[in-house]
Amino acid sequence: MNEANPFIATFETGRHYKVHKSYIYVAPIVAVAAVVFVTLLNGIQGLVELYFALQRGDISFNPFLVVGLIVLGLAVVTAAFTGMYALAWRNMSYVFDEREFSYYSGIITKRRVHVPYARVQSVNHRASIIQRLFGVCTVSIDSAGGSSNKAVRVPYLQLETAERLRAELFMRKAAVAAGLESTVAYMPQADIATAEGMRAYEDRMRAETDQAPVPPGQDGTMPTSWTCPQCGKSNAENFCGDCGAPRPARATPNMLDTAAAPLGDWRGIYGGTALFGEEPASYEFGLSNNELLLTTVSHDSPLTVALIVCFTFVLTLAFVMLAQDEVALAIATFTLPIVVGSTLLTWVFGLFAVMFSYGNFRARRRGSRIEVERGLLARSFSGIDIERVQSIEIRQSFIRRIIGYCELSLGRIDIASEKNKGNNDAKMNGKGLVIHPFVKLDRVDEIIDGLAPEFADRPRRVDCAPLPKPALRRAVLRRCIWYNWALWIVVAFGVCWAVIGTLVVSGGVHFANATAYAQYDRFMVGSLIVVIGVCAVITVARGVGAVLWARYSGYAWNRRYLLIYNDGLSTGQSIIPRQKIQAGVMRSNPFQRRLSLATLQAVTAAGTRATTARLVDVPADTCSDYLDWVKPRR
Amino acid sequence: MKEMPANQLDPRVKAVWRINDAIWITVIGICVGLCAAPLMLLPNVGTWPLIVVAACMVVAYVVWLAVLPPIRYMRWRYEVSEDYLDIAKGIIWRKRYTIPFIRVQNTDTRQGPILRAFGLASVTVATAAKEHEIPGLQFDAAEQLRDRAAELARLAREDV
Repeated sequence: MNEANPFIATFETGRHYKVHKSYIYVAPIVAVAAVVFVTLLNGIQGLVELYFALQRGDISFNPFLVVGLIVLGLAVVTAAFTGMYALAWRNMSYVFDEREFSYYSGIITKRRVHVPYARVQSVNHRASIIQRLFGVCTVSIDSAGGSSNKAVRVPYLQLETAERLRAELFMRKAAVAAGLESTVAYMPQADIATAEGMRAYEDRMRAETDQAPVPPGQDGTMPTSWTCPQCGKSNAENFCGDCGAPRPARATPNMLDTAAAPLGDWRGIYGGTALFGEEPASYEFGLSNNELLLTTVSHDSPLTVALIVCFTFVLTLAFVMLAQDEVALAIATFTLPIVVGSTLLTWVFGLFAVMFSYGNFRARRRGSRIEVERGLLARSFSGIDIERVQSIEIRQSFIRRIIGYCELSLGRIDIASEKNKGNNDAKMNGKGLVIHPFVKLDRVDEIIDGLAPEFADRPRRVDCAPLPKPALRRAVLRRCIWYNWALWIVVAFGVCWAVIGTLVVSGGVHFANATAYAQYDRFMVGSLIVVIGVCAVITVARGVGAVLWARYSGYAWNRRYLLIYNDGLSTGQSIIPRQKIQAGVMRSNPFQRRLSLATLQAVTAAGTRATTARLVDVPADTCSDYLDWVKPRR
Repeated sequence: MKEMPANQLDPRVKAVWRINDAIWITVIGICVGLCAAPLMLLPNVGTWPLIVVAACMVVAYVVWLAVLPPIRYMRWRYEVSEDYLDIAKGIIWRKRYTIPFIRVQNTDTRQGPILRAFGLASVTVATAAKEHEIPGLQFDAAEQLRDRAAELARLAREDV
């Protein structure tokens, strides 16, 4: 068959393919459920009023009639939605042409989006809980190009189709790059399922693997030889020499992943079988028990809820203690468990939601791409070509800083997608692609070397040049005075306090009696002490941050990479390839010029618009050396 | 320190800045004046609000029309070399940009009504991250600069 030809397509060139039929009966139900939920939420007050009206006997009606009407209404709405989605489905298709991928959609306004294969950057997919149930997912294809570019989203593809689609797009991209797009041969899946077809397909995949440059520095991260779990043969290659099974990926499973292994691997009703013959991962990891737990506990949203729990508890307790008559006491003691209980419940629920969203977390290197998959119930898959990595970010929040952990992410050009529903997607976008949410600092090098061996010769923290002496004084002044919002709050408060005090002293305000005056006095002094106390604590914290920053921050660059490290109570380290720096900037104000200092900035295209990594108070000479370094070399 | 980039803008750009800033100051002054006018209805206020606004406008005119343009013109420098674009600008906060041409995605010339009246144009160089504008060049010079930047952006190759 086509053994000489490495480009075998599993989608026929020029043929219109439809998305899965579940789009017609699942998508409308999800939409109706959303509408009902929003209506209920908006109408909750009306419902409560209705309930009380019924209780009082102001109105009465036949319950069967009402239930019937509701059911009828829902049925009509669902039918209307289904009709609409069916129409949309009829007009929705995708086509692989020789040089481009096209997606057709639209009922009244017909749309066709072209994506030339050469411009395909990453193909990601994500599935909501309901989509997972049916084994379908929404694929988004990101293409290169300015910030006006939008991702193409193909909804409701079977998992198996989505995986094939991704492989197909990258295969055709490679074919176009080699100028061999006319040799792409179509092989129906039925053929692949036969032994001979499978061999040809695997040969193709293997050929692709061999073409991919073998990443250096892999030895330390993966044992060179492995034992095939199927036939027991010891191998050094990525495929078993006897039975052709791919090398199993190394992963450290955590409690949740082990317990929910069937759920994590479950592909849903229409998911199909996993893509076989896919290039094996050269490096892979999951989250350990500790990492998953710490990620969950330190995640912003449950943490906020936890704080609210504490706050409500204290507040309600204060009410109980301050309650002066029996009715108030009764109410307070009655509401205490309800309020605290419900917020606690929200917190626990939030914890589980976060834990599940990081459940079955996998980050791996496959060929030239880094892939991250996560989510136990709803699941998302994102991949990025190593060439498209704008920077490596190592961030420590305050909590992570204290216990010596960090968050590891890759800066990437984010595409403003049409339907960014403010869900996790949008939140993740701000951080780039998180490849490890909570990792011990001493494992960072191992992970970067495993996932991105291309970054092996990056400068390290030890290579960093420290900031010059005047940086400390300037940092303390900057953080504790000029940019210290707490100080300005104290100043504003002091002014208000002085104005009120003057009014009182000048007799502008009259007090009914001495007790009222005493109360006023106590309030003024008390509030002043509280505000000054809180602001003093904040200022001290900022001062500590400033000292840490001035002492340990630094910069380093070698032939290919720039490293900018900002220390403090929370830290950030950016490793930026020189080729990804869009502009080198040096900035200085009069004070900096007097001390021969400047601010060093590196502008990259990461994020939806641009990201600037900066380090304040670098020696001006070094900074102009940096500008020379940014210039291209021949 | 490195020496400054070689080229200056066209001297007529100072007039463009003056006209532009005069329009802005006038518009903002009138808006503030209209907002302040009702204050005159208060007792014992008189025409003070308008006098204050007018005084501020006069100060702004002096600063933006007489003081700033020559300094800004002196500080604004650029240089187009084989591989990169070098820009230096800013009076108090001085900025120096190095933009390698290999990162440049497109270059274009723009001309507003004021620039057109003086026969000037501005060149915009856009990378994947940000746009950089060189304002106030003679129209022909701007066209040449744009073409040269586009040409260099196409030719530039790196060995790294």
